[in-house]
Amino acid sequence: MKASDVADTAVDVLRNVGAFAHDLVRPTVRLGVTGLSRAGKTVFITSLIHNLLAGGRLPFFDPVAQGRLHRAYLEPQPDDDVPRFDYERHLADLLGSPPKWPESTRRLSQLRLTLEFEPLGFLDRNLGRNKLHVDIVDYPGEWLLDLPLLGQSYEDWSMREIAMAREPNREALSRKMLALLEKLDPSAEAREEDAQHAAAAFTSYLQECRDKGDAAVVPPGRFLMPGEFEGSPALTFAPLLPSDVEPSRNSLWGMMARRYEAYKSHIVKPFFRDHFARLDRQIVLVDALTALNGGRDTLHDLQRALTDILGCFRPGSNSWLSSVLYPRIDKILFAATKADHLHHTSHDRLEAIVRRLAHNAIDRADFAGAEIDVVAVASVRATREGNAKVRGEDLPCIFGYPLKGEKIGTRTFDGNEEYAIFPGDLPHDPDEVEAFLKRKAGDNQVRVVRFRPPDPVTRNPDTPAALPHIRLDRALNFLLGDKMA
Amino acid sequence: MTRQTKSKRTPQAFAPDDPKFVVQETPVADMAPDPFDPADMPNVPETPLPYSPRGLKWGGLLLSALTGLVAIAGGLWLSDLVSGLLTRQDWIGWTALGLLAIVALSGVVIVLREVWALLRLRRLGRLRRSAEDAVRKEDKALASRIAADLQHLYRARPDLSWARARLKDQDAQFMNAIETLSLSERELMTPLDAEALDVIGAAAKRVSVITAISPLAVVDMVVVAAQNMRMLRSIATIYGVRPGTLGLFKLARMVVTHIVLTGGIALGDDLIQQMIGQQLMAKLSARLGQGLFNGALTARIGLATIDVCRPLPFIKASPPRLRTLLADIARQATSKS
Repeated sequence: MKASDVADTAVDVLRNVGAFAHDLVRPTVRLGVTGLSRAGKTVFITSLIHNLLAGGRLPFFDPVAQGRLHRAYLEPQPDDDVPRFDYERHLADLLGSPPKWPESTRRLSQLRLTLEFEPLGFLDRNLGRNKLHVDIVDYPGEWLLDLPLLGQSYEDWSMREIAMAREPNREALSRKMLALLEKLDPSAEAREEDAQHAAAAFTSYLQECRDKGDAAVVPPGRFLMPGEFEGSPALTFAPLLPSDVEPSRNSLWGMMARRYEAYKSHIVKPFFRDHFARLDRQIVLVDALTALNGGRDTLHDLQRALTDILGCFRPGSNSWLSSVLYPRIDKILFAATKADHLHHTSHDRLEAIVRRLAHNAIDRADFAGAEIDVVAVASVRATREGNAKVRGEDLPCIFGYPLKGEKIGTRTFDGNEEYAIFPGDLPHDPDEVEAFLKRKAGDNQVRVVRFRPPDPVTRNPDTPAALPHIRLDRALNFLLGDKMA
Repeated sequence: MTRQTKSKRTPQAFAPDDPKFVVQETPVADMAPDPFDPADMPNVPETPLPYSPRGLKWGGLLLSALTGLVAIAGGLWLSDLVSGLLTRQDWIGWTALGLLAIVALSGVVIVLREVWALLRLRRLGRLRRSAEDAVRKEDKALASRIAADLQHLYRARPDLSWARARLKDQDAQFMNAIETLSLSERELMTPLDAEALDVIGAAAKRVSVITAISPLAVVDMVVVAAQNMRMLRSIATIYGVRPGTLGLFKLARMVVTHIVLTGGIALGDDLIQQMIGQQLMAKLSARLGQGLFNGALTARIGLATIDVCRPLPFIKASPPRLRTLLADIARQATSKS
């Protein structure tokens, strides 16, 4: 252990003590919201806040159900160095005419929501502990996949990355990058151009993988979402083919290795130390529906990503993370989002599939007593439900406006017409789920189309009614209910 | 690998106004209350009786035969009277006949009401048992039927109109069995529970005071019994049955059975502590101790009545406890004195 590590740890301990003392006076919950890109993080947070602020229908969020929630409001952000979650703009998108889904965010952001409520406990009531600050921290799930890098040297990482690129299903995408890397001599003198070319090729390879849907399993996550680090040397490196000669410090290899270490110490570590390790509760949004449209491979990739993500919540005893991460996160919720794209009779099955996908991780999760649950939610409900009788058979359908360019069978939607959609049957019993997870892509068993947001409902001339949702209250209750007892 | 027939159901899209398909939308946020029919309650096992009497019940036979004899005798006497009156053909005869008609009519109405109350009492019991079933098996269909029936049961209650409106305003299809029932419990049962607890508290207080100040043991026995019956009737009325005399006796029997069946637990839990307290109190004043004990007993009977009459089991709401109830009573009593 280096001296700096000891200092780090000491500072962390002090900070944790400070947080604890602060908590006694002003209870604060740091709620992490994450998920792979396009899982619906932004919409989730926007709808959550709007439902609390506008008094939405939350019958199973206990404080609301018991009439104990007096007021909810946004407060200025406590951390000055973190961007604020742009709630107002995202809400305006959702409530505009025509309404549209907000743009996805590609960086960490944070927002403080304060809930005033009537405590149940005698002591709390009399001590006036009737406020709960909820700091909602939104960060890309891809960043969590960087954790294993901390235990790997540049050489290990390079070898693993190149081995992965050579796997048959990625061959087509990686050919260009590998050709470029083979031309580079690791022991040659370091030149910035070479590094930049290699990094560009590497980045575009990762990008293409992600577009195909499997980038979830390819760290480093920050290459795809550079945020404020774009163009900095810490993001300008690439794996290299190992050479036989021992490379010197000034060689290309040496420079790449240095930058890799910089990535670890300037980007990965600060994120885990400053943000991740301070979370109290975590919700992981999972867009299983897009993965359902694809076949075996996409589902498998999603499963791997989920397992890796959960691995962060259960760091091994000797990893660097376990020295900063005290058992703070005590509840983790997996939310299968976009449940409104399926009929309610399929929601249980969707939950079962997500539970199955996260199975390995959940199974091992009795660490540190963290509680795990799975719930099918729709942050904003874009559809209604009904039945279509076709040749004597009742098909459970959903009604809504499919987005432009979505396809089902031979029909392509133009985004302006309402349709009743039957998305197919999800498997019911466990054996079928196994078979379902192994099916090939494009067998047309399930086809989920995406819908545009619902038309906003206005209550009074100016105040829009709270966004409709499905089971957002259950999610809230699991995450915050006990903190407001 | 079993997917054959289902694989035909491929994903497809319909225009909502396509005449080829019958497309029907589920109404949003509506419980769709359909009237409850006990006939389509699936496999609700009747809870087995704690004992099963075998063979002829000789006592019952004796009683039935005796009642039959008395009825025949009364009928004979009445018919004699009526025929005698009819032969008189004067105003006394007509008046008597009119009175007889009133007697018959009111008798029929009373019997009908008793029968109705008994049926209703049974229906509450059946509802509670199926609700327990639905919670245990997480049967969503059964739960939503029970919720609809509860709304039907209380459809004419003005004090629950807000609760009914709030229930109609929920998207019932996204709830599972426990959520559906606990929502009904929260909206419909909680206000009724509070009312019932008030009734119990008042009755227990009255009983304690009367026992403490009554001069004769016989008097307070009678008064306590009357108070208990009155409490039983008001609790049943709160939960939706208005028992007549017969119904009240039936209810009292159910309550006593319930106390006997669950008594061990409750006694160990609450009443023994109470008794110890009472002994202490009895050292100070025997009558006061006795009064408090009778009050506690009344409260215990009241809680058992809630258990018998409430059409839902306690799902998310916490069942009222004797100790807290008594503490409340004591606090109120002392603050008033």
